[in-house]
Amino acid sequence: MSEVRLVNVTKTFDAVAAVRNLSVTIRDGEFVSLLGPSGCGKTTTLRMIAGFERPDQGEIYFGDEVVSSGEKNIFLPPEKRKLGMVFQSYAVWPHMSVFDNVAYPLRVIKMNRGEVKETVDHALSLVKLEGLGSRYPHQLSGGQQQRVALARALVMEPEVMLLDEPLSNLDAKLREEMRFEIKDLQKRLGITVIYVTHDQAEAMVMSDRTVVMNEGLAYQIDEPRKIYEQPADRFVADFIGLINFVECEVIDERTVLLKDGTGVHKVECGIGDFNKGERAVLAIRPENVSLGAGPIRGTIKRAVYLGNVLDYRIMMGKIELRVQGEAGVIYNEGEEIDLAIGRCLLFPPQAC
Amino acid sequence: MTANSFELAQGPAKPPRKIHWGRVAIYVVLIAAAVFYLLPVYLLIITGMKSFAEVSLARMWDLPSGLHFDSYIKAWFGKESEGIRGLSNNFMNSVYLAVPATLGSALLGSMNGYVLAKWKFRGSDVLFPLILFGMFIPYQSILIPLVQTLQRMHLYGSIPGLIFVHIVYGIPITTLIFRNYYAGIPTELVEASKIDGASFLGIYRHVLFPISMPGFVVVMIWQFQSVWNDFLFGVIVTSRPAVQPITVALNNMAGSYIVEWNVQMAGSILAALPTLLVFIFLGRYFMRGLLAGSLKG
Repeated sequence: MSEVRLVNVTKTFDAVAAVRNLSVTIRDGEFVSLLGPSGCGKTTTLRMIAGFERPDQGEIYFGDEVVSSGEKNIFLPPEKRKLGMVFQSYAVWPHMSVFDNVAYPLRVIKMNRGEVKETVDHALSLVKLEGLGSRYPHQLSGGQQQRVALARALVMEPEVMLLDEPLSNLDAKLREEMRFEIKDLQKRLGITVIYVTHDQAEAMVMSDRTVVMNEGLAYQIDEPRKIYEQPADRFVADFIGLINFVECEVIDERTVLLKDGTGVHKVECGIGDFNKGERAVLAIRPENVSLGAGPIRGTIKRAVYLGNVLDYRIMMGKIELRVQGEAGVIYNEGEEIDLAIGRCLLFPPQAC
Repeated sequence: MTANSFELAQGPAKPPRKIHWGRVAIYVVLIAAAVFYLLPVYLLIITGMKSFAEVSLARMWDLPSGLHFDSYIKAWFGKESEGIRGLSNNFMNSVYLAVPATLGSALLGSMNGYVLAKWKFRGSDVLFPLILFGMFIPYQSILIPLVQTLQRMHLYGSIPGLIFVHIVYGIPITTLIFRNYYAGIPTELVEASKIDGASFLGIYRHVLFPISMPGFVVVMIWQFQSVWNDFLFGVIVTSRPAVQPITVALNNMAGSYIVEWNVQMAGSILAALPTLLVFIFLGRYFMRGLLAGSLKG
């Protein structure tokens, strides 16, 4: 019932395609993030699922029911979709107390007084706001206001909950805490969550699967780990985490040749569909370069201590590599070291 | 106490104060302008204090012989022996006119603004300028159809008829102000209640209306003063003195042969008092509200 399925959904605003041909199935009880830079269409997608926008083409299903269809002109308004939604700006009504805010959906369906109280109190306890029912939003912190919005979205016990960058207005520490809290809530209540964010760490921590979007297209739909370790293309690799791109040439099934301006290096790498002699781009995560021993010689250009790791910029000939090393061994700026490139990926060269 | 601390206590020696001639010029101009604009008010007040005998063109600028309020009493209660109708009755007529007309047009404008700002529909971008166009229709150009319409509605010659006219004529400006005010309120507030299943009117009543007070203050001040001060519609729609608003009655107080200027001036002050008070007490909300609307609209 609470599976959400998008089939070839397209939405255009004034001749600009906001979402292009998006197909994704969000399973019952799954936590799926829509992740991408601003303007990638993730919020538009969420608003189409909510029923605030109508897709031009394609269909959206809740379970077996079509809720939006561009071609067949079917459209179920938001209030009939039985969703909970949390907005980026909280959208907590300023003139109502916390209790009244959360009770609002219940009063709309004319639930009796006693039940309202019980249900609201339960929702407030879920988000740890017990006893704050009589406060007004302006007396609460940003994090508390966001909890009110969460409680309001949960109070009708929806099977699907939509969250639109709910944490982006909070400070870093609180954001970190709330990630786990939202995830816990989702697990405990077993609801399906669709979560829009531009923060990859947020998507990584919370999602069962992530949809990486750019310019209206879904670039990859996968588990966070796969997205990090096996990005579908250069955009995804670049958007998620840190990565170095180095031009290279494929020389045989497992080796590419890297020219750094002063010399050449052979690097072992699975070449996939590439042919011998083809030009390609080698993608290396900073943590996949080992320092201290190896066939390649580099010079430390900059070393920054980050607590758990050391963040280096290393010059390999004329190529600059971003490398993260253990904090146990510290190399100093200007020092020459040997290094080896471990796990890496190949992408086709790109004009950019 | 050392010399040093003494100096500190005194502060550094001030340089001789420089006279900024630009600033002086500004003040001279401002004061002159203020005096110029306040002259009629001065005349209004002192003439209202004078007796009929004291009023003359030759001594019009002179102060009254004392604080006499006879003219006010005469203007308010009238004097049947001299054929002067008091304004008290018409003052109340104006209240009965301005209060409902203000509330009515504010409410309609607020609902229009709600629809135009938060429920965009096909054609709403055409409808809004059309509504605004109503502001630019001169009163004079519609007088004949207005009278005919009111006669058909059996409202001609009555205060309800006048209320109706002012509500309709107020819709463009109140719609404009409210649309801009609501445009500044995050649409997410509305969407959050839409998703909870609140109805079109439910959202207005429970979510938007309670946070509309700044908009209402602006609109109500504006409407109150324009309805209260209106003369043309009053004189056209109401012909019987018993139902005329105060502006019309004030005009009629001037006799055909002699004008008792002292009574006339006192009456003018009485007629202007409500709008003056509204502005004095609510004026700052007015400015604040106007800015809030315009900045975000």
